[in-house]
Amino acid sequence: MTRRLRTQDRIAIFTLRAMVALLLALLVWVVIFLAVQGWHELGRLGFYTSSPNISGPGSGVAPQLYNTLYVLVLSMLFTVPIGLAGGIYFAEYAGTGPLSNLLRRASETLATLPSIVVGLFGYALFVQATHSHPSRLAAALSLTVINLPYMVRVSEDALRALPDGLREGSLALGATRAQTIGRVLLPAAMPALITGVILTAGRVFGEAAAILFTGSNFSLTAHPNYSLNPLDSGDTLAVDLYVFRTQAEPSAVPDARQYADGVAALLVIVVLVFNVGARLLGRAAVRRGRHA
Amino acid sequence: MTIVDRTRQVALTPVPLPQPEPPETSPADLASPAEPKLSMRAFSAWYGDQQAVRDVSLDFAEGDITAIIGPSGCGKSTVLRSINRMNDLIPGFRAGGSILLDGDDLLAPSCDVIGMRRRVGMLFQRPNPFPTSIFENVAYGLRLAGRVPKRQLTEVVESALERAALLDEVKDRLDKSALGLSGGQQQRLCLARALAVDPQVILMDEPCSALDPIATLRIEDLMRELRGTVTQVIVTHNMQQAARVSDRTAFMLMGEGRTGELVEVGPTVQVFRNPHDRRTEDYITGRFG
Repeated sequence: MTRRLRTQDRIAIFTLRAMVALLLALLVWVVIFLAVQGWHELGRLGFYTSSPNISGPGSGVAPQLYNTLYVLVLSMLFTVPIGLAGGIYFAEYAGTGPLSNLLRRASETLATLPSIVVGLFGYALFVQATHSHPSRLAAALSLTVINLPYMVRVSEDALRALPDGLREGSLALGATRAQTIGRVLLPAAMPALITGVILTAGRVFGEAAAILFTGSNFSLTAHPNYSLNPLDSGDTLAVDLYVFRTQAEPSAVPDARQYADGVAALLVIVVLVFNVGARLLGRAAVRRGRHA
Repeated sequence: MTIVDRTRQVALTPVPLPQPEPPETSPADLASPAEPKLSMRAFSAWYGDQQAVRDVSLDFAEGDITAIIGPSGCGKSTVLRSINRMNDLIPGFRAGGSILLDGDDLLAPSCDVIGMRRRVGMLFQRPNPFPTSIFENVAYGLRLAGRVPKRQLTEVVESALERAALLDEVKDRLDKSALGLSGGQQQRLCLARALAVDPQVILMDEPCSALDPIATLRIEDLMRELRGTVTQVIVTHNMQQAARVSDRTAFMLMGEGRTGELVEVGPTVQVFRNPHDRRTEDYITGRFG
């Protein structure tokens, strides 16, 4: 009997280990594959300094990188405050009644929408309905729609993970709920919130589908736009990757594939840096909290 | 460290009788004080449909220490946490009867809960310092009311730490995180935090259950020092602690329908030596619990 149980136990552990190993192998494989493919481009100086050119060789990512960062920052300006407010509401005020559960479900459903659908929605709402053209603002707003549920969830979880003692200790001293949230809970949840914000931002980086309709101009020419105007349009890295892999004429742009590989590698590296950076920052914030 | 362990421990160890000398100058020795600081009248409480406490009437004389003892589930924590309305946070909680603080009904809808909590401090089962500096922890209650000049803040913080017998241990590291303190120090910090807003009443919900015996005795010393200036109510599983530290003891028990009831209340010496109720005697002599 015990012998059989022990065998079962061993099989279970072996299976779990195998699954984890498979998962890890997949990740390592993707990263290494992309790094190897993009290696050549990543080592070329022009890759970082010049502009993409769909009608000739020697493209670079400079304006796309600028646009990506621009749209990322702009979208986080909307996502963080709204998402944080939603998270605070769900964690501290909504409770678990039927209405708040419905709201929570609605928010989670929003998270499952395919980004291409959100992109079309963003196009209809932020571009067509306003009689404007694709812009960084429209792209950022579409990305906000995609990332909001995630940010809400991250903030709610961060607050819920705090011990009840903090809440009670503050309220028992005569603090209002708003004071408790602002002075005790949010500072205590800061490490988790920082991590969450960075991970959310990392998702913006790789998003292409939502930007195709709302922010792109496909003007992959030699006129890079480094303006600060949110109403200007501009392609992001992920869009750039998509365009070069699908639209470039091999005769005109012999290095299109190579360039796209370089963009892919850059994207993955940046996302990895965001993830690792989020963890390190979160840990550093915890440490600072402990020794403050 | 579970509740079961503690009750069993109580059942197995003989309860030492309290010191023959009752605490000197204790107002509790007078029969029933004319005007208690805090007074519960026919207090009842429900969690949803479940009645947790039935018809408890208790007086807490100014400056006294009152211990509420009883087995798990007898409603003693509910009674305590209803005084400063902490149970309001629990969905489905309702309370009936009245709790008078200087004659004002704390359960009345018109009660200013926020202002009341500044007069009624609380110490919890687990030390719950905020993850900020020692100084900021103690200054928290003062800052809530508005801007306080730095100098005055420092004075109040230091005097609160002094009253909680913690100043000597932390005065060189007031700007360090409170989470670096030991459990006993953290609990004294929480006491200092409560004292900083100069409360008239302090409620203690098993304040020593997470502390070692030495840290426990230090808290009890502090309770004795605060006797006379602050009205204290302590809920405890530890009967020796109730006997050591309190002026009056209230014994609660789970009655019909799993609802907590007050069995007996009186001067601690009398309740432990000469309980009027058979059930009290059974409990404190360890015949059940």
